[in-house]
Amino acid sequence: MAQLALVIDLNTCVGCHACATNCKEWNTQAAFGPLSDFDPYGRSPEGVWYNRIMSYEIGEFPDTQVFHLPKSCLHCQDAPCVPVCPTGASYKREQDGIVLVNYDDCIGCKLCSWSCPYGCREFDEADKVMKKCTLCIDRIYDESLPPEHRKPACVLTCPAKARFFGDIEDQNSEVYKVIKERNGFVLFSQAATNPGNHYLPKTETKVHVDDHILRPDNPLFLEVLRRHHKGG
Amino acid sequence: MEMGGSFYDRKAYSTCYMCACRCGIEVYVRNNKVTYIKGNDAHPTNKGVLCAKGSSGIMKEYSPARLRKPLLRVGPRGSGEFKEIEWDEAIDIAVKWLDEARRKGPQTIAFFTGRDQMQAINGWFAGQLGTVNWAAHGGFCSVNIAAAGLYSIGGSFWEFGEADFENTKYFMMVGVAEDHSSNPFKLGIQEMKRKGGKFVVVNPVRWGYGAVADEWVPIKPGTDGAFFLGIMHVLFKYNLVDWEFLKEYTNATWLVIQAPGTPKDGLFYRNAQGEPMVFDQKSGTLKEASKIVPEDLDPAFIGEFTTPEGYKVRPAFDIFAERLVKDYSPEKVERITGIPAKDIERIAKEMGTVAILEPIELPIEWTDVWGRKHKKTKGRPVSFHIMRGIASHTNGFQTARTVFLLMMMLGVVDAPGGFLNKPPYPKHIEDLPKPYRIDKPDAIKYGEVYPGPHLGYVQNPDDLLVDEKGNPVRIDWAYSWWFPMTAHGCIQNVIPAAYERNPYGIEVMIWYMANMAWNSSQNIPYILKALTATDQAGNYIIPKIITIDAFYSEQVAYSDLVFPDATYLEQWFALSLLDRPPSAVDGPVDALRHPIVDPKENGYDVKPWGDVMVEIGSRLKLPGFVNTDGSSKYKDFKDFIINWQVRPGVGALAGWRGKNGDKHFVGEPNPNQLEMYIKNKGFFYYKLPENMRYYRHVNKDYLEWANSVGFVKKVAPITFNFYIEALQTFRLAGQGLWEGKNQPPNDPILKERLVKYFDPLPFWYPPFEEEVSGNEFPLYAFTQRPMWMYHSWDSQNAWLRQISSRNYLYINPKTAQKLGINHLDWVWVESRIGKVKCQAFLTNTTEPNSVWTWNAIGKMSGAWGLKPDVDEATEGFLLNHVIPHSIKLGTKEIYYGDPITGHLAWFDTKVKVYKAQDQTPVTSPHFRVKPLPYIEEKWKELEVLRYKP
Amino acid sequence: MHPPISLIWFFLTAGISIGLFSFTYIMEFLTLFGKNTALPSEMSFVSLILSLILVGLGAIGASFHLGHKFRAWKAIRRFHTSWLSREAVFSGAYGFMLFVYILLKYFNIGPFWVHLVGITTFVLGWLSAFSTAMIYASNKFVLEWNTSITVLYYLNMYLMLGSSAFLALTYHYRPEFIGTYLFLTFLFLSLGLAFRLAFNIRQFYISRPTLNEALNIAHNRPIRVLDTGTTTKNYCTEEFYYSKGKEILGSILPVSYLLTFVIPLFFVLYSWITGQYLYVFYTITFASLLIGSALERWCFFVEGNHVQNLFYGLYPEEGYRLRKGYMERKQTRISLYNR
Repeated sequence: MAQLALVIDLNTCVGCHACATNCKEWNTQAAFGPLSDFDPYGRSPEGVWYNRIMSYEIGEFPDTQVFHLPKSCLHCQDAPCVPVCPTGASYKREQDGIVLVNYDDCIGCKLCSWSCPYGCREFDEADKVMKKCTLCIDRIYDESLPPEHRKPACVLTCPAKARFFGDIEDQNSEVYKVIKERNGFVLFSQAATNPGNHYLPKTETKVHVDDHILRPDNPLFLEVLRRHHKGG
Repeated sequence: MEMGGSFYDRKAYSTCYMCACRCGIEVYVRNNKVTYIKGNDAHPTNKGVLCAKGSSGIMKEYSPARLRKPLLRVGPRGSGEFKEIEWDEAIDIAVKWLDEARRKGPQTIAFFTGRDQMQAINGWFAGQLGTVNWAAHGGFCSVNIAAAGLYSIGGSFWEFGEADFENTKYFMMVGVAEDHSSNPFKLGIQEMKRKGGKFVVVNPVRWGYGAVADEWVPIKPGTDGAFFLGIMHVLFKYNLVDWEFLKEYTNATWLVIQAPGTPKDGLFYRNAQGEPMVFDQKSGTLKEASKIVPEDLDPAFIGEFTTPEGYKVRPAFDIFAERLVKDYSPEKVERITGIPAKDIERIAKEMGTVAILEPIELPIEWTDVWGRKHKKTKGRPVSFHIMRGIASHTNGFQTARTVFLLMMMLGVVDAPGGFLNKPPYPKHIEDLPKPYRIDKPDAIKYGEVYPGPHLGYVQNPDDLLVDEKGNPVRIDWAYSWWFPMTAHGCIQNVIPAAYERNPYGIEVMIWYMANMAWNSSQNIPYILKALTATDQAGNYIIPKIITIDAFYSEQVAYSDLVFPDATYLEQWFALSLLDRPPSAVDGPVDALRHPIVDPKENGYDVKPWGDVMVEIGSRLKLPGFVNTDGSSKYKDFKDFIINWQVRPGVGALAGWRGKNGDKHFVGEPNPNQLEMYIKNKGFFYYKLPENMRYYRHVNKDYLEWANSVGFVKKVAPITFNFYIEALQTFRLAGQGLWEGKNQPPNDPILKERLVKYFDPLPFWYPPFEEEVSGNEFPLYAFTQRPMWMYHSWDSQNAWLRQISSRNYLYINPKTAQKLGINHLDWVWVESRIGKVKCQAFLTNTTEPNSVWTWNAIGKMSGAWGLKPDVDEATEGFLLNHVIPHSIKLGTKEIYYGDPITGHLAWFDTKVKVYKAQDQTPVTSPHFRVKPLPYIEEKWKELEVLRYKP
Repeated sequence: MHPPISLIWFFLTAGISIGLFSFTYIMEFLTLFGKNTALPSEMSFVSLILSLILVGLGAIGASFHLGHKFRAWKAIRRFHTSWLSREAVFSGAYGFMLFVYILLKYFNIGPFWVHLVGITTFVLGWLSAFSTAMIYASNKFVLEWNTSITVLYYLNMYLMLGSSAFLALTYHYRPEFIGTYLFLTFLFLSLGLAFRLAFNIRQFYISRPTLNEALNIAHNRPIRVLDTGTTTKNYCTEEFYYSKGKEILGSILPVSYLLTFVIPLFFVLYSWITGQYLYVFYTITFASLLIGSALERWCFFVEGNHVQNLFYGLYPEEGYRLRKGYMERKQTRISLYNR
């Protein structure tokens, strides 16, 4: 069965929030919008976002690493948010695995969000329905867009090209390959949610220095040393 | 649910202005409201991607902070009490003020432009007013990088050039205060990393880019120069140096006269024809440097020689080598920087290995300027990027110089995999423009034009803008003895200098897109005092302040007359090659902005500054704006962009010139030029062929082409300045040995400064604050800007402020522990000039000698269309309150800056941090202005923002 | 978790309703076996109508939890997967059957029908209670809730509320059952106390996930939150973490124990041991239990820590410590200087 999903490359993600604001920008005006913002110019601005970026630090100085985590709905294959929905408003599409909310059926009980271990559903207090990442379903199947634009907004905008999109079940897809080749992993693997979205781990490049070749014996260096150490 | 392409009825290509990168954007509009902004796929800068700021452009467009009509101050200055007036009245007032000021002397007008992207035009306008006092924001931006680069290699970073991300295998990013530039960098770094390159971050903080770095070098602030000198020491010791590059392309082998106490000391030894000389080891004789390549000389790098006249001379490299060997061994550098010696050695060896032992070769044929054909192009895939963290110290110029020298030693300038210049750079250093010199402030009379350029690159003391006593001619002290090689001006000194009437008073101060009353100035309490101070008669010492801005900034609140600007989606605007060019490595680029939405329809009675400028210029009958019969030359700014020429055939935009639009770069104005830009997705990109991509400084085909379009003045090698002779001329002046007409005032501290810091070869010295603040203020305090706000002025942006509505003081846990500070404690940060209260955040991403915060998130209460009690004005804080704007040198208070360029050294600040007794979560000091009069309605309207036009 | 007042209201009203109905019907049911437990019809009707009103008020109150109450009927659609759907169906059916039951009683329809409907209502009521409890107990991501104790306590809470309410009623109409109901109330209160203590004690032994596990980081160095991507609040921080509640939980929880268990147990035992059957005792017992239960349910929510809080640094401390042995095999030392 097809499972569309995002694969996020933590080897290039610099935590810039481009995916988050572009997602907001696209989705607030598109089919699943608006994404309400409450008190946007006041003390506690609080809006609905489909995609948020968090940053973590690992280890102690100076062995510190930083880890940016862009987090949007993972479109789990065993999505715990779907069966708990009493009305069926929260559903997983069979044809592509996208988890969606049908706003017309949503009664706003919030139970789906309680059942998501990732915190990837956000309730819109103005519309009183649950909102979440749609993988830009209103872009990816929109035939009025040029084919290269039929991708989620976050993928198109990512300046670090850290976001891949495709069918992770299709062995010929780019996402399938990068997951396999680069040890893609999922969040909370023990939660048995079987997320669609994967992350590619950071790798560390090293430069090999051959100390057999390198010798501190540059004659010019030695000459300077000799000349200027003579006098003291 | 409805799906499908209904999200726009109009689509237009333009250029982003959410920060300074000038990316191409596709703007989708429905019912005159922007629905979506996407990166322009075709644009060479961002290749279709768009950052967090660019994607939030819609919220800039509809921000409640937007001004909707001209404002005239009615309350005291800084109270925020204004009345809205009509445009006619506003322009009448400005014309009257400017005319009066011009009659008192045009220099009494100070026109400074902040986030200016039309510097060439604004500078020209200032010249038309007759004033010498114009500059953009370079003085507090990264002029040290620009100046060091231009004086060293005829180019520099960012607009001037960048790493060859396509081919580089080792990329070191140094002192990037989180982002500079935005999309191009992220695109480049990911490309390099995917190809298996190593990415090293040198920064006291590991954060955004640090996450994907293969190595973090947590350096102590202000010590980077020593770090690079240490690296060069190791490279030299292990013979990991591109000697051929140094020999052929730089002046490293040129002989320098060693005659202390004479006017020739430290200058190049020249023959009778004025040709600099080298010592050719093959023939054992002195030869002209220009013959190194043609005659295949073997110039000496090391040694001491005697000329026929009896001068002792040494190759420039020899002098530098002595310094490297004596002063910058890794062990010595470890003590300065806190980076272990063995790491310095390893990093140097890594660089050397990649650049020298493992060069790459591209199958590209090219011809050098001496006529040698190269079958292939050799590359040295090590590259660098340096910015704020290097620039914003009092040793910034010399530190930046260390990097350019390192790049020369590795042979990576203009080499594949190294650093590549973007056309129109590189330029011949000796041909760089100089500021138009006047020798007294009132040299230009009423009705006369200051021909400009206002800014440029002085080559010796006689180029300075000083009067006969050696006092500054410019209000910002640029090109004065205190800041001789200013390059981009010293915007940061304008308000204090005008307030202190030092060197003279200012009648009308004009600020365009600059927030000088807040986050773009330092020592804010002092700046606000300067802006509001009155004389005994009760008149403001700075009599008139005009500000042009689209938003209700703190600067707007401290102005007398405010012109509400249109946004970047509402106006004609040229992103010109005459400016800091928006070019790509592969060729020159310039671009257009054009009105996409109509502000009037959205209730804003605003005018683009360009239109206002044309109107004021015409009303004042400034020579450039009127025909001989007194009629206006330009209808509006659009007309101006098309028809204005800086010299015949060269105007604001380079593409599609000539009557029919068939000429590029040089050609008469084309009435349909802008339509052609719009048709071509908003930009002009002249992609150069592969054989012109590398070694541009000596690439015959490139130089011939560049010469033909006026980018360079001759087809001759651009010799890199390993040794900057110009610096030595100032040093000689400090020693009383300069034989020119400009002589420094008799001030021993100034003279010592000239002698000490104007070293033609880079060296490291501690930032000035070290001496003044000493142990009492042990920590370095600095600011960075988060990627989602870098170079933006959108903290009021509804979406971006949800990410960061307040800032913390980041501090290393071990440092905090010593100070008894716990996570999230409220603390005081105190420098020698004051203190600010803020909340501490403990993090291992920060090295122990540093504390830092995000800049410009803290706001003045009441400004920026935000409710007065917002986080930005309560829990957020502005570090600028404690950043000194001046320093006492001897008995004189001198503006705080790099002694060579005057670059404001805001990262020098040293502080002590201690727990606040009062843990109330509000910053201090606290400033407020009255919000805009109609803002309450806006807030009500926007209580819940549901943007779906 | 942020305690929704509407749900607490529903728990209490539904609890009293189902509990009270259960005991009322059980008395009726026992008559089938010849016991002399028939209630005076006035008492039956008071109790039944009270139950009906309460379940109605409960439903109305609960609907305030919903964003779209008028779509609530759609909740029947996912009966096969959703405990909330089941709760809605069962509690709705319970209310309806209770109404039918009252009608049958009122019109004195034959006992076959009365008991058929009575048993159905009884079963539906408890299925509804069970479903409600399972909404919480089945949530794998709030570990405090994810236990059978949640269900046991919840069902027992209905019994506590029901029996104590019945006790107060029976005082007026069939005082001879006071002893029985004193005993039952005592029994349920004791069980409740045991379950609640177990619920609390268990929290110390929960093996919590760590942020390392959440992020699936393949080395065992501690991770700390640097930036949550928002310096204010958002739905996730507000819904899943109630900071004000967490601050006062330490004071509220003992009060809830006092009101739910200590005071009721005291009066029940006192009355039972001394034989002083005073109405005021039972009123106090019921009132105290009611307020206590409201607080207890409030605590129940505030005590619940959703695992998504890990991402925000709002999870209990253990989430940010390394578990011994965690991923030790995968341990890789990532060193700054390649030492």
